[in-house]
Amino acid sequence: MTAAAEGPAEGPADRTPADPARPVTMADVAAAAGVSVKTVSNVLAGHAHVRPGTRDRVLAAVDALGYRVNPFASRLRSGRTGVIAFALPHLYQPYFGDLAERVIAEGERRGLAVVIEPTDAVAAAERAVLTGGRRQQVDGAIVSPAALSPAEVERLRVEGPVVLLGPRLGAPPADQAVMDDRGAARTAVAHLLATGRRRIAAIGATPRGGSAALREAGYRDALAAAGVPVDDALVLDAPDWDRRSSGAAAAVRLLGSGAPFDAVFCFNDAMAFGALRVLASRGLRVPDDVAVVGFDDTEQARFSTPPLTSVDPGQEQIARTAVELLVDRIGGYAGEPRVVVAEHRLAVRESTGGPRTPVA
Amino acid sequence: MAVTMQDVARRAAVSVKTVSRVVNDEPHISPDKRARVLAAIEELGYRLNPAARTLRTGRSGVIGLGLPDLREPYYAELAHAVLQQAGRRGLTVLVDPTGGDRDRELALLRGRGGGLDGVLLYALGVGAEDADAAALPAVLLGERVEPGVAAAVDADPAVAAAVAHLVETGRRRIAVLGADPRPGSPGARRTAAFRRAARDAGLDVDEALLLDVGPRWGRQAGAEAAARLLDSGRPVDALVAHTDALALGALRAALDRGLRVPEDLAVVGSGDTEDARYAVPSLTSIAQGTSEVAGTAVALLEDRIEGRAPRADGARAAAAVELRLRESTLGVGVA
Repeated sequence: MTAAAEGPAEGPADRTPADPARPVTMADVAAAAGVSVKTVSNVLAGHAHVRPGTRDRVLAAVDALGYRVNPFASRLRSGRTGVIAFALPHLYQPYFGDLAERVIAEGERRGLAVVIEPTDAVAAAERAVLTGGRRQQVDGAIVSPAALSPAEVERLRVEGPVVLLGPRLGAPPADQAVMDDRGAARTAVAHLLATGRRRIAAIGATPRGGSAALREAGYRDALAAAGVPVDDALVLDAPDWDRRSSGAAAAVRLLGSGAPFDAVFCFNDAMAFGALRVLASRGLRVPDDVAVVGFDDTEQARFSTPPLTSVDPGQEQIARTAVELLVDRIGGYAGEPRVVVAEHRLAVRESTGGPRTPVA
Repeated sequence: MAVTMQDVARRAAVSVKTVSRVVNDEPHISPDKRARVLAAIEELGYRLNPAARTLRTGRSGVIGLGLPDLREPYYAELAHAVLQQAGRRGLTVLVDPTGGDRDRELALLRGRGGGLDGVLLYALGVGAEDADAAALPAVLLGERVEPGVAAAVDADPAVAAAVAHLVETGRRRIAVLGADPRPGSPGARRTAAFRRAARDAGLDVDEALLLDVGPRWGRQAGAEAAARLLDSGRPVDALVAHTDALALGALRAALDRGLRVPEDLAVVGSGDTEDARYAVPSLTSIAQGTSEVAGTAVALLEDRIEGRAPRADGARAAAAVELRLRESTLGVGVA
């Protein structure tokens, strides 16, 4: 027997009332107050035509038994589940672990439970979430596509309330809570230039487009603005952003190429931690020999060796906005897709010569 | 269009019945067929249709997963492993970060708002006295071994190996991060294992070095506890932390104070997460068989939801628990 099958007035027959773990039902309240279940329901719904003496007995029984209205039952009546999904590629990437915690907290503030749906960065799974194939149990979904290209996402017929994260789209098929990938990358690289670095490598380029293309564009913008020519030998592919090993492998290739460099801009923190590890293994000092900047400002950035300078793309704002937009849609808002761009901020730490800030 | 079981059968060149048996983890399927079906499932992104299942069984197809904190690398990796196992069985997972708070853990065990078929809980706050609290099928994750109930790892031998390793490398004053006075809690269990190992190694245990860091075993908690210890002036030359996150926090606090790791302070974590492998210095850590634990937990929960007797492989995940030695105890240039 499952909790899902329990309505307030019809507890499962195979449980005894003495079972302390069984939730208190409306029938228990009715029995204790010596009234009908219908009367209990009327009292709890605030209906006027209940005698005061009866009302008092019911409320006393509610208090004595600790009865709570079953939210699942009320959701059945409203046709909603009170649950939203957050579809993300992988929880083990620090950025998504951090973001999931924030989305769950935002959902909780609004009385919504959050289902984490891992898509494993599989295009079919992302498509299924966006088109409603995997959403029977939820009121709406926040989706962060990783495998689908921006063009593929734009072509999808999105079903039901959906908010998209990820790179800003030209013609979004749903509301978007996005970061300024390009501007944030420009800020990160401008910081390296301002601290005197000129041979700045970029780790995380991919041919897929999306966030990678935008961050690479921001990198090129910053160099161009400073009159520093782009050396394509310093732009390194890293196909799997979710793994530190990806950043480590790119750093090994960079060192092996013999191209001189004095800084590395990694397109996310996970890859930056991989790069930091390789630089340490090769005896290079950060930041004296090589400065390193990440992207995401994950919790681990404050704890790495040395602590990592990183761009916070506005994670908290993205989580809050995504839930707000989704709540609007669930509530019936049917306007054109809206786009909210979060404000970014650079957290300067020791990996680029920032001040030592003990964590405790 | 949604991928169907027929699509998977066609791609794997097997019958629909075989696909169904693989998905439901039934026995007596050749490893080759199983591998082909799983490959086709991954490739096509197939998932059981939860609506069809709900109609057939009266179940929601949703299970709850209670974890202290998704930001901590061990829990994030465990969550990922559980989500993969559950997804393969067509179960949706509702992840509930409990913060290790007993009331929130109890609420989850009681089914929270409803709609859950069962619950997996990595319990920090719930103690042995709450064993009967579950109002729906539940499996506890962690280190408590109760047949048919817990998918547990027995980390004691690895804790003993860690202590022996530290003593061999000349450490005498070993602190513990994550000592927890509540009987039956993972922290209490680990700390008891530490005491036994220390005694076996001929060490006197200094109670002042057994640190309760509270319910959240994250980086910040580890940093704060280590900072207090290091600033107290009490001699200490090694530190065993009950999670990698605690160890990473302690590592940062030690480095911030100009200490060298491991020369001045050796550090051992637990979970063998990616963070441990890529830390500078890389972190010696106790591997806990994360994917085996997740697989056992989901299988046990399915048994309980369906009212089957627990399978023979039962309570204990035959997990690869072992100590992985790295720079934080061996020094640079060795590991």
